Amino acid sequence: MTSHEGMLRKGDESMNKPAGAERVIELAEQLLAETASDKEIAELESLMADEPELRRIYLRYALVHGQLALTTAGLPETGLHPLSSSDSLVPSKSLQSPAQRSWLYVVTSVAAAVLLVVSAGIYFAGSRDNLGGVSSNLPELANNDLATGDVASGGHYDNRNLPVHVVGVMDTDRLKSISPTTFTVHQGATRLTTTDGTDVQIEGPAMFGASSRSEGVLFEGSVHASLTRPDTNYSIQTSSLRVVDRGTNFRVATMEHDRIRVDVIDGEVEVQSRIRRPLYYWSFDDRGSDGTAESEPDLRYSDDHIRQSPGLVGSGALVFENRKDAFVRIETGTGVEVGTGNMACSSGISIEALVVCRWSGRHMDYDEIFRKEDGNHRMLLSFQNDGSLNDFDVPEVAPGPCLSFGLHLEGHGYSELDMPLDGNDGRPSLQEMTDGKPHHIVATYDSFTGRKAIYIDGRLRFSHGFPVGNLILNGGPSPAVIGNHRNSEPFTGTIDEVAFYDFALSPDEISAHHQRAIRGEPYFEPQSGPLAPERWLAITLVSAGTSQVFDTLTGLAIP
Amino acid sequence: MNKTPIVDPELYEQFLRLFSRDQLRIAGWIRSFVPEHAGADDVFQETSLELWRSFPTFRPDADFLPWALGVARHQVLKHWRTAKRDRLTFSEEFLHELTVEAIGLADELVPRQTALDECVKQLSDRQRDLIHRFYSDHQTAAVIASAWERSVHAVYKSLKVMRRALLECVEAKLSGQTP
Repeated sequence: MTSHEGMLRKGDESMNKPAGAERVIELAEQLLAETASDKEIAELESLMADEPELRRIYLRYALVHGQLALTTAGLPETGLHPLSSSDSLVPSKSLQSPAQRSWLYVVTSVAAAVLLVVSAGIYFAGSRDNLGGVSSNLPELANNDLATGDVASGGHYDNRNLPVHVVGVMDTDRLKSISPTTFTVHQGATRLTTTDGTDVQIEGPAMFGASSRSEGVLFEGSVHASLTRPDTNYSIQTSSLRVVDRGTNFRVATMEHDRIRVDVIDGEVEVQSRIRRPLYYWSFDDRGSDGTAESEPDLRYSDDHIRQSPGLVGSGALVFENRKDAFVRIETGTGVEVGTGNMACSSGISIEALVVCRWSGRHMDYDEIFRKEDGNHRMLLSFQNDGSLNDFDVPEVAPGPCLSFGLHLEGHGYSELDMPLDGNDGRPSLQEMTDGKPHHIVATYDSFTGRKAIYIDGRLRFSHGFPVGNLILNGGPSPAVIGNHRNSEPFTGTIDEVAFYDFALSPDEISAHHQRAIRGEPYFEPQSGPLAPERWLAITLVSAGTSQVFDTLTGLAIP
Repeated sequence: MNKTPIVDPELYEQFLRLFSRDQLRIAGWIRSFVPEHAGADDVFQETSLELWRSFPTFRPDADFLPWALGVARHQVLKHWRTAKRDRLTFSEEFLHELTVEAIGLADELVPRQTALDECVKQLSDRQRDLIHRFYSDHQTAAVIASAWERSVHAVYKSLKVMRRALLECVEAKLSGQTP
């Protein structure tokens, strides 16, 4: 969880730091790392607004960052030394050293160039190419990093960066393929062509996620799709609606008050609303004799060590007894590469389970509820206590027992929301989670809000906000497993009613599911219809030459 | 159209002496408001030009550094106005106030740099390697993570832990404690 690599003595905690100082430094760090959200920056500003001492703390902290590039003790090979007030008022020899690639060198080179120009008596003003005002969040690590291995114990983690699905090329650089990426276009238009041949024009200001070769996610602004091949489809998803081409040329734009406008230039499009049902739902109610469940043929039971018990809901549940060879493998949902397969989600995800937990909580003991190990694109929901081992926790939490929700977000890499089981701030304690009673656990991520969250027994217990628009990068060749990970992290207790969604459940939905579960009922009303593979429900068609506004929450057309 | 002013050699020499002495302090100050190195380079370049352009207004009896930081402040604000849609930062009004306050740090820049340099000597080799890669070679966290075979988050966290420790160390040194 947390690394404490710093060898310097921490300052005297008894120093009279004003209230909020720790939070200011925490937020300042986010700002320096350029990962702070709008909300976090507003919070930082608000904290400092009327507190001069907090402003001073911030400025001094930021100055450490500013001056680190100018230190030389840590950069012995440069041969540079920092200027002191007693240095002579002539250019330092260090400024003429040819060997540096440091910022110090850049700065002094710039200064030298400026002075040269100045001395020649010529004014100039520099300009930079701004790439059309586009910034993109490309994956953080190169895909050729094949380092495997485990940081933990015995090499059972796969830390490779597996090949990621290619979704298209930028029009500005057709030689460079792009994997699922969110583009922020500030002005003008940015164009890309999907591998299916659809021309997509993002019209700034806009934020658009090119999530697959046949679909994109519109977070803000306007996007125009034009199909060039009749045998392909392209759809644009917003928070709850999807616009699917039934023609060749259309535009979708977000509006205020959770509305979108659909303009059809040519052909027609179908507007669809999301069917808020799981992609997979395993009730474990009828395990067959051949290691598969009769009504759930995608499940492969490792052996007879997994007992079938009366269900926490329904007639059956899985009982795991901390045996390393016990697991249930899900033999569906895989794909060839990251970003493919039915479990590859883009804009949101939820993993839900009903659990009786008998985890020890001991250091280095892991109990997996659900895990799909596609290298650094893994996703997991598990009980962990690994101290300072892996450094995946975002936000950073103190070492100790936690419930971990791991996910890879584009632009951020793999991280875990580690909810400490400490009983503080509304979080459950380890004793509460291991009290022998069933607990309803839901982990969600919603790219439209940036919120990653863990709910226990119908209530939000822990969350973290990432910037809006970060797509999930998961999926790939490894099958998901319930109750274990590579014979190393067996579960202890009972698991029932596992559901997997390709969107984030809402707090109201989670609360309703919990209420039904504690009554011993499935998450969904019987009258809500059977679980079906369809993910979207057609609302209406919009024809060429017309525009239509829709409420994204209700799916209703607005006259 | 380019303008070709007449350069007073004496004025130029005076500027050169003062600028050469303080340029790194100015650069460090700028980077505390523009964390990303390429943006900070741009602002420093613009500041350097503006300092020369404005130098005739500089009073010889005044301190050069606070005056230069005032010029740099305008360039920082200009940078954020231009880049406002690119990256997130404070509101313009608050940034105005904060940068004014930061000019007051002029007297602290040298002792803080000296203390920081001493504190950096106490870091582990790994942490100094991190400074070199991140601040000197401009390697991204992802590249460092790859080289170290660690996660990107581990790199960010190492930076965070190191900067916090350095702040504590600098504060302790300046207050006369021995960290």
